[in-house]
Amino acid sequence: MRKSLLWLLLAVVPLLGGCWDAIEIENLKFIMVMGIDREPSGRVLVSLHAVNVEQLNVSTESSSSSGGELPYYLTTVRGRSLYEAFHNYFTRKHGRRGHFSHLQAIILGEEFAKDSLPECIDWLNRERELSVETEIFLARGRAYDLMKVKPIQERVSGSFIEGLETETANIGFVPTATVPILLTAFTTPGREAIIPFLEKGKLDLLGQGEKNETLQLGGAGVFRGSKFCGWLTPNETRGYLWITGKPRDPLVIVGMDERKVAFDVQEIKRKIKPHISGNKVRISVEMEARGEVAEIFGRGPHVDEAFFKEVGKRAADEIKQEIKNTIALAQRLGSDFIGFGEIVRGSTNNKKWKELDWRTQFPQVPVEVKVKGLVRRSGVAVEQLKAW
Amino acid sequence: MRTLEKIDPGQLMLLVMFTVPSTIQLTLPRMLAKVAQESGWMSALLGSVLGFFVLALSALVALRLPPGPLPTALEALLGKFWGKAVCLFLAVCLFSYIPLMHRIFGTAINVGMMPFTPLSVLLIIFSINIFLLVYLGLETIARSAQAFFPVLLLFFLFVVIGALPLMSLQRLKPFFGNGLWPIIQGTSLVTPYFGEGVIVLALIPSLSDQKKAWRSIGLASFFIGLVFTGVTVASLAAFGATWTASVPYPVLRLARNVAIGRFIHRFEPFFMAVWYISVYIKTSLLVFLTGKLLAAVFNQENYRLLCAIILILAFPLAFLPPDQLSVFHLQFGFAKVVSIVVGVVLPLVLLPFTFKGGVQK
Amino acid sequence: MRLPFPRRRKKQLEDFSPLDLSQQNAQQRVKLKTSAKANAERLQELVGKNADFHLRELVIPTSPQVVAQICFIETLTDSNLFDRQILRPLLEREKQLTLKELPGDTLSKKIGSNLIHSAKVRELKYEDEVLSNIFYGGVIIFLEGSEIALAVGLKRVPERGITEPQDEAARRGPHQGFTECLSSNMALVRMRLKTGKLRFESFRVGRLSKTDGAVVYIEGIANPALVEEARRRIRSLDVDMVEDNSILEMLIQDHPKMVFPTTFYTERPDLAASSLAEGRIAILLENSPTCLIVPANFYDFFKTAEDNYLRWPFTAFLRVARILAGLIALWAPAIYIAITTFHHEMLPTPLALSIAAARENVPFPAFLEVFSMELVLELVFEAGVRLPSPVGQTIGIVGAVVLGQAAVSAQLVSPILVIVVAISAIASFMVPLYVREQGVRLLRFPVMILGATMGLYGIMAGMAAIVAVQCAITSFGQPYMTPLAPLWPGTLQDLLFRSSHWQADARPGWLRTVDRRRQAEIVRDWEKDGANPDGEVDLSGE
Repeated sequence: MRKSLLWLLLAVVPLLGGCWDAIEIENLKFIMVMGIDREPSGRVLVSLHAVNVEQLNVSTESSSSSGGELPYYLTTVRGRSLYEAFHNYFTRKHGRRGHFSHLQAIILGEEFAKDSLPECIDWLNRERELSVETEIFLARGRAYDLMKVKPIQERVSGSFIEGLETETANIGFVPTATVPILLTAFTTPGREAIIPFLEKGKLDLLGQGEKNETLQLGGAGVFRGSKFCGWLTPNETRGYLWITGKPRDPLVIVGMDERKVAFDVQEIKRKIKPHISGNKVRISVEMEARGEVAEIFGRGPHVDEAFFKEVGKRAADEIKQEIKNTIALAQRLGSDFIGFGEIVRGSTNNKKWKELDWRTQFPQVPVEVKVKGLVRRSGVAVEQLKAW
Repeated sequence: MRTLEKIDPGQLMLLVMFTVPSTIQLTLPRMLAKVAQESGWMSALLGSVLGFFVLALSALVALRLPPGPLPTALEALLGKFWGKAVCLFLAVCLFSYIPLMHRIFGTAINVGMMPFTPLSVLLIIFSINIFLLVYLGLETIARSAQAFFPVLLLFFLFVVIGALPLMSLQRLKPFFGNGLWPIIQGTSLVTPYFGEGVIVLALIPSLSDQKKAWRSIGLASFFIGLVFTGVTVASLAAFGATWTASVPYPVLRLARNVAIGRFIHRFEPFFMAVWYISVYIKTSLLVFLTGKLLAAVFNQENYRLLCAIILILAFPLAFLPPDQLSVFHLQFGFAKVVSIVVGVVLPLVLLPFTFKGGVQK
Repeated sequence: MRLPFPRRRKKQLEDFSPLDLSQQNAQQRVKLKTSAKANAERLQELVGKNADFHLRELVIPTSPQVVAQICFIETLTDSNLFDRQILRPLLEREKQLTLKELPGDTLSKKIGSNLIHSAKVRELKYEDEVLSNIFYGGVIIFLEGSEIALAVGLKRVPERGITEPQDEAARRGPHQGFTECLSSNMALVRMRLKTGKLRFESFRVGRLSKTDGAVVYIEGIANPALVEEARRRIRSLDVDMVEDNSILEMLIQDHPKMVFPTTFYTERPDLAASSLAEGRIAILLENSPTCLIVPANFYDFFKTAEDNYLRWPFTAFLRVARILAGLIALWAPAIYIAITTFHHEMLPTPLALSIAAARENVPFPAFLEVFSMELVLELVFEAGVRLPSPVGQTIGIVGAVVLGQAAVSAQLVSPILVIVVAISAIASFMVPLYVREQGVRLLRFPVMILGATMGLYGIMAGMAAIVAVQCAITSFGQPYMTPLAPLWPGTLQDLLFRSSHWQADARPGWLRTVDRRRQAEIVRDWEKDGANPDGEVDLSGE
């Protein structure tokens, strides 16, 4: 008798738990993309792409592209802080709790990013639900305007942006800024944050001429501490990636006599060495880019070994120029987003680092760049085909 | 379901490995980053090496004790009154850990996994689980540790390897950036916790093969050191010192970063589930030992009833600290002190007595 | 468990008198009388009204004549043998024999040793012996003038032929299975272990059933303490009847109420023989085609007989798959509930969206969905077992497929759920019988409740509790989770993958057998002898 009482008590215990954290999955509002803007009144405008799950269902069965409604919708909420906007107004107006774990992209409006990056960073750090893959973008203009653009291929805009980012990063025009990367860059002494930006672009679709809008990735925006510094063009961003990034498939177009040769860089080896004497720092960057020839566009004489050597050399010059431009820009803006400071700090101790005062010194630091280019393979074909 | 109260050397190693790191495993990188910044991992390494000596102290005393379970041995060594007094003292010190472990564990689960479930519910389930294990005996605790060890290993490796893409050796430089002193300061965050290895005092008498005790202790320290250092290196290399110092549970953050493509991500609940095992075994061991010691002090045969009482007492005590910050202060203040007292001072005090009677093992 | 508060004592069964008819003190045993007629009548009285009890008077044509009364139970005796071994030799003689010529000092010896053509002749003195003997199929011959009766063992019972057991069919390997006849079973084991060290210690359980059984072990390998433990447990049993070995199992098992079984049973003699060779003990029982094997640990339940006969890589894969399947079968529904209710972030985004879309129109919360679906599945399975085979299969298809499909179309359950439940059911079939039926199918439900109320935290608590209990229980005194915990180094590869036959040098250490080594260290000795070190054997003869 006593024993069964005990078992009964035990059986009841699990029933204690559960009602607090349990949310049925269909009751969640999945947020795919979030845009944050600063309004003139000082409030924060949060725009959200929320998924309309029922529509997803319908589209699976009917699979029509003329399609009535999109499976997601755009909505905005306002508040004095991020969480207030989101939590108070979203939940109250939409009847379901927003869920961030599957957030694909966060777009920071220009005004917001210019002076409120630390606030955003704090929220990114604290929010329990965020996942590692959420990408962060800047927007030229307002994030809200960008979010109004309808994506072409994907049904859910988040995947579109995410796909965009992956592919562009692969060819090397855009840095990746996921949450941990951004937070690390923000807090590591000797580095500054760099975030890619989105802008509107024109797209020719269904023969309508370039009337449709789409999103495209521009270059990046750089910061100095928490302050926004300036924009980088795609090529300048690539300069940054040459030095410290991991571009998978960057292409360098080289002009050789009247032809244009596309040099596909596949392997990058680099060495960055700081030289510290007294309080002066000098940095030397050595890089070797190896790749293959992707295209020879144009007509010209016979292609031979010397040709490929020359391609390699000219590509190296192009890369060197890009790198130099980027470094010059960085020094002009006063923002060491490349991360030289981190490397300098790594080769000396903390006391010395404080003495060096990197932020003031960086604009004057001479950087020596040496690039070697090598065409490792000529690709599938070697010679150009000519008519008989 | 009475089990023989003998454990293998391998089981001893596992029990020590589960006990010592559990208190601070999740937060250690943060404290080390605060004190020694990028060189924190060297503190972890050094601290573990020194920790071995702390463990060795307890082992030395334990091996020189007269034969028999701990309470009997202490009585034989120090006389009835002092023997019981030391038992009581040890029991009280071990008992003070139990509500702390409850609270640390509950807070971590609340923060990492289930924010809205009240602490009491989590702790009730936890306590029931512990009572079951304690009721089943020491051997069961040891065997459960053995059974779960592969899972623990797997997840630990998973977490460290999963953070590899984010890790950059650059963030660990400069080595010795602040000089040696902060590193040495950092060891004070690691070594005292090896004092929890005083459980070895109580476990060695139940060891089936006393000769292998040193090997177990050595291996245990080695693996604990590996865990501490590995976790700290991973945190620091992946996130950098400043960020690591700002997050209360850097290891959770690491677990969060485990992502295979876009497919498997946010693995932390699994990691928390595995940490559950680690804390669960440690707390069961503590409750069991406290129960046994108290049973000896009060001349009771049935230690299980005492264990139930201990758990019931520990439950409300777990709610004493008012917020998370005070839990941290307790973890790194009070727990440290108790560990040192029980793990260093106590064996040191007992050591001369073991030489006195010329009692050799 | 001794609870700290007092328990009420149960009433003793003092009012019942013992049913037993043969457990009388030796002093109280009644001897037979000298008169055969009197003995026969007394036997008739004891046996009572029984249609198959026959009594026949026989006059043995020796000089002088001996009148004998032959009593037997017709249904238990073999009439052919009765004819050949008793009637004919006693009645048909070419020439008349004189009693004086027959060797032997007593009458019973003279008749029994010389005239009865049977190997199994016994002399009985007491009434109770006679009574028990006749019910074992013996033919009792009372001789006039002798207090000693002869009992001839002519037992013949209905028996079926040797067929492969259904549940343990192997694709490769012998297709023999145990039957209900104890002697056939003993023969099947003896065929495989022709060593003189194989011992069958017989016992008898059950007051009413008086079932014969045998404790089988190999002397010199099995640990004597283990054998003694088995003997001790069986000896102490005092029950009415033991219908089947499974009843015996429950009576001598360490933890009969536990969800996971702690003794292994098999219907295959080859598996029994190899277990005996490992150092275990087998227990055979009459009227039962199963053979108990003790001690058993947790991992034994994931092995099948076939494992030994298939090639190593495949078996290794199968074994790992079985353990994984066991885990999936037990935990999959619970983890599904936990993740979709508590830990949505663990799902990959496209999957999360499609699950949410699928569940949009389902009226039930995830827990109720899964629980009811699992329950329905269990009902369908049970129903399928009860029905005769063609109908049973149809019900399986109707129940599982059509019901499931209909439920999804009616949007009572989501399609993802059907997949999860189906996978868990299929996985549970991969697990060998005992663990599946008794462990997995039952434990699934409490674990689901835990997952639904506390998410992965609850599941972890459940797992910890289950493992803790498993670590504590014993099988005939040996820890259940051996060789993983406590660890026996060297046996780990046998756990996960079956260790190759030529590498299995030693018997399982945890059985603490007397003789450890079972093979030469290099079993495939022929490998090093080959003339060609590359492995090729030159057949051309040059």
